[in-house]
Amino acid sequence: MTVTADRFDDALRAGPRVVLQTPEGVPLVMTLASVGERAYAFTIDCLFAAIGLLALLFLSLLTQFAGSSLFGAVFVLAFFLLRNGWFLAHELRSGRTPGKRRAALRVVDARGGPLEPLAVVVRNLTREVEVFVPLVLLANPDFVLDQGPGLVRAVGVVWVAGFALVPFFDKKRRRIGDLLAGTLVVREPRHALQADLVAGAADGEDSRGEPAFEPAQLAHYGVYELQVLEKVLREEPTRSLVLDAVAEKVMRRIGWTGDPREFGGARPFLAAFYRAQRARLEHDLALGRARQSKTAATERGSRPSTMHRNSQ
Amino acid sequence: MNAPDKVTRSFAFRRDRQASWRRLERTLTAAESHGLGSLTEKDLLELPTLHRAALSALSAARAISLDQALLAYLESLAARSHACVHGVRGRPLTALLRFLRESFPRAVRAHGAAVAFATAILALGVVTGFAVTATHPEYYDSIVPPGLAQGRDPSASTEDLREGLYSDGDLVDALALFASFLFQHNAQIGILCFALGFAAGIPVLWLLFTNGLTLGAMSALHHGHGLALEWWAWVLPHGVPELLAIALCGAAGLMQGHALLLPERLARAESLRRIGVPAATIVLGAVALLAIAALIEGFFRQLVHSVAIRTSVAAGMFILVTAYFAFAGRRER
Repeated sequence: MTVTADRFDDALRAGPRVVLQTPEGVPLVMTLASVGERAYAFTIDCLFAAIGLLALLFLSLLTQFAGSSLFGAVFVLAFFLLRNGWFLAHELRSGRTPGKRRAALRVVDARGGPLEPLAVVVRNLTREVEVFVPLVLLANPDFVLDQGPGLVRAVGVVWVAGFALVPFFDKKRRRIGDLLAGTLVVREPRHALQADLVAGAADGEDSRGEPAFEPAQLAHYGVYELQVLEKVLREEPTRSLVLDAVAEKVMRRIGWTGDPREFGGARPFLAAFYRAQRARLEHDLALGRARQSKTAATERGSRPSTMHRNSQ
Repeated sequence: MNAPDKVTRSFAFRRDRQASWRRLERTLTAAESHGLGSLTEKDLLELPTLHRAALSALSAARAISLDQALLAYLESLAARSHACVHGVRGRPLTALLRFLRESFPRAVRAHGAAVAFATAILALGVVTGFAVTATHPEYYDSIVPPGLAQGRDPSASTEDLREGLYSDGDLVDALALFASFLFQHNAQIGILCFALGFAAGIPVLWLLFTNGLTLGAMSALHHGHGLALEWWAWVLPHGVPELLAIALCGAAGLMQGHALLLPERLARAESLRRIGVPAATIVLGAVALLAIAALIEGFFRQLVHSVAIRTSVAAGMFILVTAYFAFAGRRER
């Protein structure tokens, strides 16, 4: 089963997690957004804002409004509002901008409480210095530091560019605006409610009877292996070499001597084993002694990181 | 064959609750795409109940279920529901009125020391700029950027300077451009001042001081040509709200610098977080003041040339602003 463990281990892909204490008293486990995901969301938002300005320009060209000086006023005002207001308005309304929605990210209060409107304002006001000033500085240093000796300018560039790099060094990946506002940006994955694998028996998936497992045969694996098996069953197609290989390994380990074809092949056999193993481990869990993994009771007793939810 | 609910408690647990989870999911999807306002009254009343039920189901599932897919589903459902139930709230207009009546003046009073300090730095800049220009006019050019001076420099005649104080806007939309430009320019400076605060407040001190320098230098120039009264009548109607706004933004920046350098017994991140909200309140109020200043600068100054009216408007602004910060939001409501 270790063959498949690498392929399916979510912990290898997931970012650092944070635990939010909700007012209801149930802690929520969330995954922090990576810097790349946030940059992606930000780029999308900038594109939207730029499209807004271009649309305004295009409309005014059509109506010959562009020539009048009132247009200048409207354009400058629109630029101000888009630059400062786009993020603000969206995050105030729903806690995420269209870019964050596409990247499946959300702004949350770091302490798990409600997201204060002023906190949203704070994190968006500081974006000016964290993002726009370094960008302008990189594009055209003269614009910000118009006169001054070369050394001062070099120090200025490094100093200001440093602000943009804070999320790379903070262990919760906060930018300065997040630090000031007490907010975090987390992933908001969507998980659909999938069929319960235990329900398979009730649906008459297998008409030739279930393989029965002795208590001793259910004592080999722990929670970690059960959940790897769950992933295999959910993600592999019915006729899969992986299923055959896993079934063979399980049979060898638990000392099962029958032929899985007796029950319709590797999948029904593994499904039945999953049901029996889960019933056993959940029973142990209720008694507070569920085994964490096949190695847990023997030598090291180390727990896989995916198990932290069930470990206490 | 065993019946599944005998096999695992978690199966029965899920079977009995999944209808309510799906109902919550539907409500959340509707609320996320069209807002809480789009929900029917029944859905809205049901939401807190369903939210608490989902959280307690999550808590129970963590304890009894080893179904990873179920746990992932409940985690994501609870997170969405948490965001929906505890998300940002409030009607914009009510929030704006409360902000102006209570939050803003209270935040300014609560951090009066920082505001006073920022004002002092600004005033120091004015005095320095004035003194330097009055004694050494040759430094004027290095204090006032040529773009801002627009010909108002030591080489200009008294007539040129006087003309600058009474220039006419010929088109209303030219004025609109002016106002909008100033609003954008000044508001951006204010926001910058706030945003630079976490850089230990040093850039803020510099911004405050140089803003003061410019004003002081130009004042000295006009004083030198005997245009003192006209100059202050020209500057102060918009100068009162504008200088105050700059001082407020500076104060907000200094508050953050202080929180960063001297966090007392708090962690620096926590110390910054505590000052973030009051500082942003002050900056937002300052942006509103800058909007007022830009309107006065763009319209009133171009349309009204009488020194008497200009002076009384300046005095009126001063009294208004002082009264606002002295009295607004004192009473608990």
